Amino acid sequence: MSLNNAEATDTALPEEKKRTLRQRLLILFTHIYLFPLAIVAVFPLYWLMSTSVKFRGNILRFPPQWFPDPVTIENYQRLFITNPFEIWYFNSLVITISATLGATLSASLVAYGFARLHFVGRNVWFAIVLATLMVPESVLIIPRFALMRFFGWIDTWIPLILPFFLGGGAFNIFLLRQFFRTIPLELDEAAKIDGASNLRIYWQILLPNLKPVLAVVVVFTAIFNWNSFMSPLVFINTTEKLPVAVGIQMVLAGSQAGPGNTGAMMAASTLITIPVIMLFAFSQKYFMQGIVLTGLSGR
Amino acid sequence: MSENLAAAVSPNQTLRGGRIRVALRKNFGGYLFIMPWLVGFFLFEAGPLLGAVGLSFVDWKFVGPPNWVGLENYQEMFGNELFYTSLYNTFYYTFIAVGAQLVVALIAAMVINQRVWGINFYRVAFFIPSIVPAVGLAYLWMWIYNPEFGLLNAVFDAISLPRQRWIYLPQYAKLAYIFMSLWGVGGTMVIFLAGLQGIPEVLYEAASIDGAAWWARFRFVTIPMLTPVIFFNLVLGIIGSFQIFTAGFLMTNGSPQHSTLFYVLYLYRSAFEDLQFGYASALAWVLFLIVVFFTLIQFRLSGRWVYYEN
Repeated sequence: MSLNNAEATDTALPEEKKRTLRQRLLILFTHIYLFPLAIVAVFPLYWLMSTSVKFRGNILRFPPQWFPDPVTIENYQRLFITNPFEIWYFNSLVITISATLGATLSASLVAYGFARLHFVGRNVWFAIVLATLMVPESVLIIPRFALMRFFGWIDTWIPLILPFFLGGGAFNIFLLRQFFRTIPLELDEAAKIDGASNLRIYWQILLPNLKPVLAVVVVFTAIFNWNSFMSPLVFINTTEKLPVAVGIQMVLAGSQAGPGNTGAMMAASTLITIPVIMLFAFSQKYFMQGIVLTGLSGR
Repeated sequence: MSENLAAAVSPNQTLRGGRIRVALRKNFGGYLFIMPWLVGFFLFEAGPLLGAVGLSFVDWKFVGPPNWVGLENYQEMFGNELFYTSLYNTFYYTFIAVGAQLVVALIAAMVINQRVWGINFYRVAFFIPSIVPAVGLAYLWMWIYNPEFGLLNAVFDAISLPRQRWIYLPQYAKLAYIFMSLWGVGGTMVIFLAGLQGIPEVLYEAASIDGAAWWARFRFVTIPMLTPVIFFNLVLGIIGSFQIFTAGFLMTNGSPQHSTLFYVLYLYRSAFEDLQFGYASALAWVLFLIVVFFTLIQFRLSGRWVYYEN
């Protein structure tokens, strides 16, 4: 495979405008084995969406119907008639947007502190930030539940949103700190001579330079919150307050999850997946870049 | 006398006071900026972590005051068969899944690490399954694994293999979860891709001049240069896999015959279905120690195989 890589890379060099027949064949060969692999990778997603627009009779067929014919929206109708689906969806949007806003603001503030300001114990605290990456959410869920109950916040969105305003996640802090450190210090110093405060340097000088990585933080955090399952499952009881991920589970879990209900399950899963894919599509460039950068951070 | 004393002491004092004031001013800004995290850390991380220790020594059914029971929760845990079952299931899942994920993700990353026209399409295609929400993922794979109408059995039929009951058969259930997890390796793949792109082309050229064929280049250039990224993915993969919950909760909920009762699922059940908060906190602490233990072991062993350029 490395052989292919090396030679394929050579062919893409700009100075080699004219490709030899052998190189053209290699490119063709690459597509010949990549295309089926790509189909296999996205097929389950196609299966999800195509099942969601089939009639029940066509869903429960073996061998399966490969293309939905006829197409129907009855599964979606059933989903909205029997459940407060639009309320769940709206709840998810509000929770996701608030938590993401909080995480971005607070993680960038904290990251600025770690990257630019000198204070006693900075390295120790930063090591602790990194160590918290190791603490599983499931370990904390019971005492957190007791704490939220003590504050009277059970069955509200506060447990789902507030923690993101307080720190915004170790991973985001780490990522943003690395990027603050790539901005030349002269920028801060010039501003300092002009009498700018730290807050002002953070907000007006450095943050605008960090737009790409802020986009990454926003996308990561938004997807994380939209997909979040365990916390809302534990902290929220009232059906009308649930986010969509837990909402569909409440309706479709257990005895109802049989094949007879597949259409509604696929419709619900499609609706919960579409915003994530759309967000990814809009930010694809930054998103990939972000993972690449975080990947390198592991070194 | 007192004046003398005051005179002798005061310059020193003002100096010290001044120093403290300077130190305060120097440190104040930094602490102000990290304050949100500090509050969040003590309130939602350190506090609960210590709280879990306390809770693990009490009997608390959520209503009424907690009742001190000492080590009874731990005794109950180590005497409970389900604890060992869930531990076994989780280890089984974690070690096979993480190993398989690393292999699949690395192969996928190498396949998409080519500069040919349209490569971005393949990158997106391989990556997109990994952002599907866990709930959607669970329902989709339940449907694919459906014994009567499922996609997988249709494929098996087409290639004349016997149909299987997948997640509904104790022997296969965990393997089915592992297979499913391979669909979501996109994140790991892109991290490998980043690592691959960080390997200087010069190294491959030098190896080629020395007559290294593709396997030798893979074995002696790619792998050594990639060890930091492999290490990163290994550590995060193990921490993540230990916590498998949502899929298990939605798809099989521990059945058949407890073969998919994963550790966090058992923990969740003990806490929020049996309302045994003390017992579940003991489970949580043991999980934490296991994760820390495995992470530290990996860091300790990493010196032997991870290669850092500087």
